[in-house]
Amino acid sequence: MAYVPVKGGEAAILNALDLVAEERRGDPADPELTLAQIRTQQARAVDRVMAEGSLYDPDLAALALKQAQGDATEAAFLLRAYRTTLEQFARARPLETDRMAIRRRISACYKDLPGGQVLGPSVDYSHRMLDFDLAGEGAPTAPRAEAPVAAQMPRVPDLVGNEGFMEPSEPPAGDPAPGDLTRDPLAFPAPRDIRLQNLARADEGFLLGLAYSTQRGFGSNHPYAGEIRMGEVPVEVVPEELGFAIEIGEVTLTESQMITSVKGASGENPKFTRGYGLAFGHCERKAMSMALVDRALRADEFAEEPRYPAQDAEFVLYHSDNVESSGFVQHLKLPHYVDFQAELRMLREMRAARRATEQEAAE
Amino acid sequence: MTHAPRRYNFGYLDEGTKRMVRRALLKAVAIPGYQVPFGSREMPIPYGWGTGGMQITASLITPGDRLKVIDQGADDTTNAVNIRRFFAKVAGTATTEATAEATLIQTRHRIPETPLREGQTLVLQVPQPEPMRRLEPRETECRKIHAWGEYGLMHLRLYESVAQTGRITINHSYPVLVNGRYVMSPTPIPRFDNPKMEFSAALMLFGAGRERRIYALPPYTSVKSLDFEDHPFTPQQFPDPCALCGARGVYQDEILLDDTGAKMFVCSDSDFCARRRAEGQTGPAPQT
Amino acid sequence: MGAAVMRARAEWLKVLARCPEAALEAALAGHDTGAAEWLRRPETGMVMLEGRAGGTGQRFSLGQATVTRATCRMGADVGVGYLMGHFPRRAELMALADAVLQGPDGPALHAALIAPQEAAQVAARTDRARAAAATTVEFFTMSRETGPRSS
Repeated sequence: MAYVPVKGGEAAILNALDLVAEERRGDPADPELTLAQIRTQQARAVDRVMAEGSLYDPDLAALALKQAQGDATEAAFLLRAYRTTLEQFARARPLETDRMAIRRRISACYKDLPGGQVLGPSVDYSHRMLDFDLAGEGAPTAPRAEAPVAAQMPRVPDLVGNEGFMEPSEPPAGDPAPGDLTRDPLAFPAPRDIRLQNLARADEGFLLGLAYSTQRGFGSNHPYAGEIRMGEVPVEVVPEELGFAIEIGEVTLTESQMITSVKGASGENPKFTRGYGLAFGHCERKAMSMALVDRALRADEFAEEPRYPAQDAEFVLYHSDNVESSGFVQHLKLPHYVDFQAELRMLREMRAARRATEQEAAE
Repeated sequence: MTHAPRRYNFGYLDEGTKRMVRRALLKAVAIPGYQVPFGSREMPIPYGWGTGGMQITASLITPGDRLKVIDQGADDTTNAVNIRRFFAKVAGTATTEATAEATLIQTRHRIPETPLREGQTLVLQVPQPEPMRRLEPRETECRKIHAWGEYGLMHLRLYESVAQTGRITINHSYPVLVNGRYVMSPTPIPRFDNPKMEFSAALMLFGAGRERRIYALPPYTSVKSLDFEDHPFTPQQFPDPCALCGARGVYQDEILLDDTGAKMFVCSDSDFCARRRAEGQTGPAPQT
Repeated sequence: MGAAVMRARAEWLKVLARCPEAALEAALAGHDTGAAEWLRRPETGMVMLEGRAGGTGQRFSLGQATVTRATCRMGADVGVGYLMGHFPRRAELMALADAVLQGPDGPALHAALIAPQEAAQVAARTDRARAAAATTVEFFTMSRETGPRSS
């Protein structure tokens, strides 16, 4: 039998995709998942996919999760690739989180405050014990208070700021439109608007680990959770055919304001500084991590010597994106046999050369 | 969400994105070997799998092109098949496996054995555009190195290699000096392929999607592989002819035949090999 | 366009952007929209959402959102549909409704569609706010304007 090259690549790929489709569907005797079920009953997964996919669209995120068999990173990648095909019509007006329809709002800095500590839909004070009743079905309801929460609540750092203890948070002169790292590649030093955009779409696990490192000693700031709020914020655009702003819907956001005390430069009053986190959906782990890393990356502004990974903008910003890192780590699966052959050939030559030298020496 | 039909633009990218990529390409051609930052988009294949090359191809391709896609020199490897399928789907472009017939060739890790000619464009997929990266992880520092043309670090790396092993032990991604100015990574092609870049008649474009850089070699550009007078650059040599077509002086794949160490060496360039076999050339293929 | 008209339109467009498709279809069924000329057929794209550092400071690009838009002309009136998500039919209906609302049939459509939809949207929002209020940790109940927690 002679060796005859055949082309097997294409059939193998198509069959592999069919196999994924079959496994995705699972046992046909079970009912198929609907997108509405994913969107409403797996909402935290949908939120994560939107945040890391950098595209707010719960329906598409649900579709992506279904297609990716629940793999959130793969689903975020699907959203990112879809983004590429859409035209950007406009920039919305900056979201005003003080207009948020609050569903949750807490502060670790004050026992009570205007608007109150609103726990909202939180599992924080639950016992993490498996609830076997959930294996069945049900339609639970929650109680309602007579009166709704306040329509608007002041942001805690702004309250602290009223006393002059907080670094001000004001837009630069002229309130310029921010950069967009999806259009202009990262360059260093990266300004804070670019850093925040990068962090908002960063991998939650990567940010969480970095944030944790700043608490464990690879960082030197002790933060306070000034405020965490979650709820719906209206989205406004100014359509070119109208010339005035209209609300086109709303987005669910989680905002985290971390407060850190610093002494202040010599001659300056000591004051609190801020780290800021904001992300799509209900995602406190992400928003809080983002705020800690944002603060760590501001080391330069406060004359802090950058000594730790979380303070290193190149390290953080270049490695935070899971669509990039997942792709590059997994590209090692691609054939590399041309280069491997090059290495193998060198080893063979070097060994042969050594044998020849040894033989010469022996003779 | 309704199931309204959704159509993709010719070549997947919208026209604005294509123009952005073309502007970066023009700048890259104007400054050979210089890495031009560009607003790389997320493509429907993962970063690291050819997104940069794909964006260049998508920005250049026209209905009249004949596209060839290779990976490891072969048209039939899975990633090559996948990228070719993508362009057949989003551009409906004619595809070919014949190097001589292709107007546009996207490749990963190889330059075809058949010499390229004027009018052809070779698009190389680039995982890491920065030749200095292994020596200096910081982008900010690398930009300074290129700006100043201070490539001492690279010569030191080569010198250390010679001092320790008696040879330059870079087998692929072997650095080159382009047009006497910029040190450039030729991508992970084996250094066997480096001489094919020197004064190439074809235009060579390099796309790094994840790292958001594009660079280029215009036709007939000086491309010198770095070396020392007493340790000159040498490409890899393969002592045996291709087992299937008998070709010599070509890059080879090593195919393991069984678990007792039996192997054969065959052309890495599948089109080159098939063409020779069609001409009746044979090699000493092992019979079982 | 006068400021009062702009305000009125902004108010109803805000309601329309959140209207279910069925309600739009039903309310427009009695209106003759056949003469509408499409200046922009429904198309889906994105808007870039922005946040502000610290909530009040430097603007930054937060991420994009999908939006669908459409524009029609009915007589002298131009109707605009602009809403979040991929909803071509809703954008189309919204544009038609916006055009009708500016014309002689406007008050009727407002009564039949905008008023009840706005009431429903406010009710849903209030319900969420009451559910949240029930989870408020009360320390100084007497000092706050909100009432005692319901059980």
